[in-house]
Amino acid sequence: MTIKGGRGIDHTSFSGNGSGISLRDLSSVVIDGTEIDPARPDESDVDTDNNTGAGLVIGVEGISEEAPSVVRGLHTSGNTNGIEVQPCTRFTLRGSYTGNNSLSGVYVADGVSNFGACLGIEPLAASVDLGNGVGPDYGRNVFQAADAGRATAICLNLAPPPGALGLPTWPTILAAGNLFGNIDCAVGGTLTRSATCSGQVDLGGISPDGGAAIDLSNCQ
Amino acid sequence: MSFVLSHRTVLLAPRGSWFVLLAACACGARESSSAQGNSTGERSGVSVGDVGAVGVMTPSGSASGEGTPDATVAPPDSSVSEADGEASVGACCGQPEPSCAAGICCVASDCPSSERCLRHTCQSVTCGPVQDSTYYVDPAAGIDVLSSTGAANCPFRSLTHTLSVIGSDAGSGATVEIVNDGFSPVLDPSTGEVFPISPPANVTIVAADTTKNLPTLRLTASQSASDSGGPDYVTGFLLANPGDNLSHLVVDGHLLPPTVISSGIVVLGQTGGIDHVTVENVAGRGIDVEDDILTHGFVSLGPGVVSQNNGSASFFLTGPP
Repeated sequence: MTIKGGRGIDHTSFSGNGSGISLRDLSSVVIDGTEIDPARPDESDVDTDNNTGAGLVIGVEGISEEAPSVVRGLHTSGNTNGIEVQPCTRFTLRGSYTGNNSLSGVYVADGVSNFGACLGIEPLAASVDLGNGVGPDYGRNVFQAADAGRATAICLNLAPPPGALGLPTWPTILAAGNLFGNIDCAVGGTLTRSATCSGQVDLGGISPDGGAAIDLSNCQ
Repeated sequence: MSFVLSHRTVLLAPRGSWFVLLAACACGARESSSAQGNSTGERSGVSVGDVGAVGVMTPSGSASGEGTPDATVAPPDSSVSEADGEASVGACCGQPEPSCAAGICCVASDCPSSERCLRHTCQSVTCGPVQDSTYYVDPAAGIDVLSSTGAANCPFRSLTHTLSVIGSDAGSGATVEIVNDGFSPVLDPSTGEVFPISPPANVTIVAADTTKNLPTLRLTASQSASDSGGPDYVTGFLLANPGDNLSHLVVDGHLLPPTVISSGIVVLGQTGGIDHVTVENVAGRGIDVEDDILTHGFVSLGPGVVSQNNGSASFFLTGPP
């Protein structure tokens, strides 16, 4: 499934609905928009703006491996959460904008039915890729700033994995080389953090007891 | 003799040989797009060669006859009075306009049963065969009868009827063009549509003119009992076969009561595409794709797809559990 963006009459948007783009079961999507220019973040992309729910929901519920979802040039703004994804969903985000959502730009939470989409995936490796420091293959995503009066730029709402899953921790969330407000993590900087997702910080909900880990590459 | 057409310009011609008195009138939505819509050479247009013996006044005043490829009919913001000056009261683009009289037509019912409304002129037409597997649908002026062929000079009225004529096998492919030369046509149960509209494999449904006046499929509940989803569920388009494409259309559900669950477009795992389509105001999902794990990635959405003001998911994609 491929969604193509463009400008003018070619512009593609899923805005002003209950939710923007919603994936379930073993579905996957490739969003092929023009990567966001931070100076002009709303051109030639694919929009999922101003929905009453989330802009993009990847709620994989299957018990075998789904195809990866690859998203480039997504502009998701004015929603509750910009993107909702589970910790084992095979998901790559590049060159996208997740600012100005009322809660979080990217919201990572484990699903109830299949333990965050981790069942059936072997070997269990990092699946949510918002930017990879190896290469490097930076994300170049523009996340909402911590001081924007919003909840968090990235929320990891993850309790430790349930015992039935047999995992000591959730897979690492890759998030290297992104912009958090004025902080460019392709260069470096210090991000604000909170143990909850309501602290108007860059990173929320990160638990020290193995609940989740995130790789921010050059940022602290 | 030379004429220059403009609003309020009057041309005198004997109607018996298609010389008619042309007088300006306002025809609502058609007005702004009429001149371009009537120019020859458009995809949606019907050349004089198609329609047979028609002689009309060109803007420069020259008469055009059978076989003249670039003859131009009167602009549809003009109405026709018969030479005796008696104006009849009729419908002009669905608007009651006393100044619209016999000879100028906007819908099939404007013409005698023996004639067709082609390019806003009532004409006796011998239906030609469909060319290049391209069928034409004109919800205003088309007719869903056995004598229609769906050719450019004999468009059908509804997508539903057109698809029934195409049948279950479109062979290597068929295109259905919705005529939109003068105004934005609306397709709904009143024009013969039965939901869901589900083409066979390899059928493309597209506006004849992709630059303006996009056709709107208007969902209403009156046909919901025939929907496979039951009496309280309405789907506009159901793309269930490989190679189905929708392009340059609008699907609108604002007339549906909130108790009716609706989807603008439902796609079952297949290999087609949707581009330059707006889906809006449906209570349920705008575009609902039920993907098949064996056909991952084969449904193409965009560019130019807008899904807005829909009740639940704008775009909902599921795969096998």
